[in-house]
Amino acid sequence: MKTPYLYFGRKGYYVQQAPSISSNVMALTAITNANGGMLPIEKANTVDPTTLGYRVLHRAVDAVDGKRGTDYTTDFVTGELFSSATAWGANKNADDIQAGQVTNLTSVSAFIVGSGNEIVTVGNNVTAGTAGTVATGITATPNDFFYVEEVSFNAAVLPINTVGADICVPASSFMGAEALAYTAGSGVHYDQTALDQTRLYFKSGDGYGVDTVDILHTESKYRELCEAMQELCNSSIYNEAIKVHYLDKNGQRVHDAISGRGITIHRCLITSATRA
Amino acid sequence: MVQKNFMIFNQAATVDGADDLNMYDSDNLLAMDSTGAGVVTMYFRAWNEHVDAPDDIALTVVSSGDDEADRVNRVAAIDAMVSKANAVNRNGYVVAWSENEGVKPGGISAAVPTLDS
Repeated sequence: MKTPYLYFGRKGYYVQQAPSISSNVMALTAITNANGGMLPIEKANTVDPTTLGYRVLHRAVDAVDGKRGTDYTTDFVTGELFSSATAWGANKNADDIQAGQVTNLTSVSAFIVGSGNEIVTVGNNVTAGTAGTVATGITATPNDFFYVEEVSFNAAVLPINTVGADICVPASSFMGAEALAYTAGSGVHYDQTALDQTRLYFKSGDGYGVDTVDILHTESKYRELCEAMQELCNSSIYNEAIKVHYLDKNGQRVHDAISGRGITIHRCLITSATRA
Repeated sequence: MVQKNFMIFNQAATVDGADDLNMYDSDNLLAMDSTGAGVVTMYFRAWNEHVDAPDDIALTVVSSGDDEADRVNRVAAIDAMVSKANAVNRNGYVVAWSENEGVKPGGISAAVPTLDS
């Protein structure tokens, strides 16, 4: 029987409220495949974050003066200067944090990742600590959020070629989809748009389990995602796998059936049945 | 009428023993995924009908040391097997990969089965 085959590649995305500061750093909870869809490898405070295929961002909920590293001058979402006299409701200096501002921590010593523990540790903007300096660190309040977002295929984020990195399944195995709750980061992306999550179920052939693909996506797009799956499963492409979603070295690739319906995919979490 | 497509994997020049030549119904192809820098694994419903583990066929592709190139190679292997799984041959089976016939699509240099037991 002919059937289209659907190919999914993993994409990681993790968010949490800022942890308390200890020894001038803020250590996030360990990122796992289950909570973030990725495993960032060790990163020293000498490695350039822009080479890693993921980024670490700070979203401010509170306004605090003099707590942002001087390396950062521009809001990641809006492109506005942090020192803009008009963009933020208050005329402040670039190192003053205002509510809603998003800082992309691009400086070399802004954060580190532990060896084998997948813990991202962000430095505050003081002179001491394993990460962060007056120039490169940021001091978050407990109401602020940190986001770790994978943006391209890169060996700095695992898995890239082992189980969970990708999966290709016959459309005939697609059993259905359900909406899942998503509450991390108050269910809000760093650009302050709301997010929703949908789980796709596939027969695994294992009598005790299924393969699932959890898609974290634009808010209120569950029906559109179901519609896209219907379209993909009924396509007549048989000579190659339909590339539904994946990352390559240049960024994210999303099938038109999904992106054309206004769905942005923030995370693609692949969980295979244990095949042993 | 039931339309079936059987995929042949012939991994030995001399076919006279276990795992030299295997045939699977493409309807029983459960999934494929990357399992190494130069490896894609195909999972078929096991011949022994055990529900807790499939029969695996490990497809070897070039592992160059360049992660992006390796990813592209693995996807090419997946694409090749999708095409074979859907290539209904009215006159007999479809040769998915064969040492004897030199059928090695998608840059796949080996197709090694591991049967569930």
